[in-house]
Amino acid sequence: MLRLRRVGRVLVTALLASSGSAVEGQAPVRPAAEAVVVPAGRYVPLFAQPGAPREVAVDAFRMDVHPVSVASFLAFVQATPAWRRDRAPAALAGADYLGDWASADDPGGLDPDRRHPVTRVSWFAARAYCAWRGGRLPTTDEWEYAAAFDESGAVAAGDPDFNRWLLGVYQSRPSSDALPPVGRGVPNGLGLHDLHDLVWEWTEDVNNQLLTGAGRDDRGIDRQLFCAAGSTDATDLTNYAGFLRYGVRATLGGGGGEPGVGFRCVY
Amino acid sequence: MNAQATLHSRSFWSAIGGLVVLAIFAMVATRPAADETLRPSDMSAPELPALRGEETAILTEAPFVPPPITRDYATVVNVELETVEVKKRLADGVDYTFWTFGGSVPGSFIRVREGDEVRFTLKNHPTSIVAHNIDLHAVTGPGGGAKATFTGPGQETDFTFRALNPGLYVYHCAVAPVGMHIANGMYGLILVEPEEGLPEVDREFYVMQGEFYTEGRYGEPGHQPFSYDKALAENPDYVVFNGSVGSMVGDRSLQAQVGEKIRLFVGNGGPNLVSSFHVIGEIFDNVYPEGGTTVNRNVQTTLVPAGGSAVTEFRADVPGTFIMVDHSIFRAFDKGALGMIEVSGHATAAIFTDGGAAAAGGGH
Repeated sequence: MLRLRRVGRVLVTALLASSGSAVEGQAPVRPAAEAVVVPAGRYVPLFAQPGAPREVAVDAFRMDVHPVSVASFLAFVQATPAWRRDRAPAALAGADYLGDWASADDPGGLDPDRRHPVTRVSWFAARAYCAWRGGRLPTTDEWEYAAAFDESGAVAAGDPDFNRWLLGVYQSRPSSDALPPVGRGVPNGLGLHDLHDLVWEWTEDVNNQLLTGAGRDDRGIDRQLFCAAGSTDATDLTNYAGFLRYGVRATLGGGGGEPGVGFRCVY
Repeated sequence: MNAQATLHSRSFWSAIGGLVVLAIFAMVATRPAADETLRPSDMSAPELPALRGEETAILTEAPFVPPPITRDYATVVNVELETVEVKKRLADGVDYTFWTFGGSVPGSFIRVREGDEVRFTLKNHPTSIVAHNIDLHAVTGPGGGAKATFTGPGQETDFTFRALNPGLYVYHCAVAPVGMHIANGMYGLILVEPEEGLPEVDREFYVMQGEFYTEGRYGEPGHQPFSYDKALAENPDYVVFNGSVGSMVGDRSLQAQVGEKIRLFVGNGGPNLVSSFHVIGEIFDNVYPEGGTTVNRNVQTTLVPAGGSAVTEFRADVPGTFIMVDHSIFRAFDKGALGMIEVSGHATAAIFTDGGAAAAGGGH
């Protein structure tokens, strides 16, 4: 298993290199996705939509093994100049979009391989990237379901040991101004890396849950995230790690620019 | 969809709310004057003092307190706090990743005057891992500002409130899981001075208790993560004043002179324990229990609720080391809830003699 993954990574590196040279020619070659199958299954979201069933069925899909790296996103920006930070429409990418790059076509930084995850990416740009790759952003259900698999490959949501491990991971995460490369450490049982210990990740419906009812202030998930309302509708009050994830998601605006938020695609 | 739009939509809804209030007011105002049960004054806001000028609040780190307010009018006070997640010392050889208001535990002390309009800005540092907000108990309004200040890493929010009630109030983070945010150190004090001010004293200090729940037992070296199980069992390994074991001992002891009046602004962040606050070798001349307005005199030990406060005052009559403790006493000597006040100056034998040895506290 491990060896296979290593082979896969070498392949990606080779393809990335070839895509780099293709930029000088005409048609850019898209970097191949290193993705694995997440099998169909069921899981219980921490917060359910009002009236929705407690348990959600998730169809099978393929998911990127890593969050999108700076190298991959640079290839996208070079192939699709409309998403350069100096050209992207302000409505789709805020002033902080790729704000940590040295220039519109140079991520800068000391790491020549640019294997660290891209951040400060707007939701719209993340969607465009995934479409360019022939995929899309995962739904929150898909992301949460895939991230609930532990190292042994079991769905561990609700397992006190898994929750305790996650809390420890969140507390020891690297600060967003010095992110290490993607693919460190041990993947979960599906072969997915970095789901918890690197960056938060965009999902397709990241903000939908805020917009239930007549208005944002009416009802919805954000009410559940403050002590004034309690967290009475959460399905698992012990899932502290889940509260932290949902909390961050609930603060995200589509314009992006957030320093600790990246993404990966599904197919 | 973006943060800007969200804020705008909030203003939109509050504007609608304001219109509804105005409409009700107009309806009431046109009712016959004979109807005494629904006068406009019953329906409108309490009479508020006029605001003059604008200033920026001085914020201090514990044990220090911003200077007393000398204004005799209400003003607009701008307060800017930043939430920062920092790895710091909890005890010798023990580190903890604190979630803070302003970089230290407890959070910065805020001092305003009754009637002031507080324009509050909350920033969440870009290196933060999680979202934060603030619920100030001094706020009259839903959530104490919690919802208005829900702030992701690298973001900034604001809201405005009127400091209607004088007193010493706790503020804290109220993002779920609330207990974890508070357990990680997200609390502080805001003083709303009464219009007439507080009686003059010589020294004011900021002392705030809080407990920490670590995976390792007390003193186990290295970086210690938060323990959910211990927090749930309300069984902390550390109970400390001002964010760490020994924050106010030795070189860091609070300093005063014989004859001075000392005021301690005491808070308790919790998250779980109620403090039995006591100074060994002193009697509080005055206590404002729970940080409110009444004064209790001649108090040995005062209760400080989790999420509450007390103001204690005493005159330092004799020199020596006076030890602040949570008199739930195992917390003091075994878990860290201990701080020192060094009082220097001449002894007065008429008050206390110990047979010739140097005057020293610590006795009981």
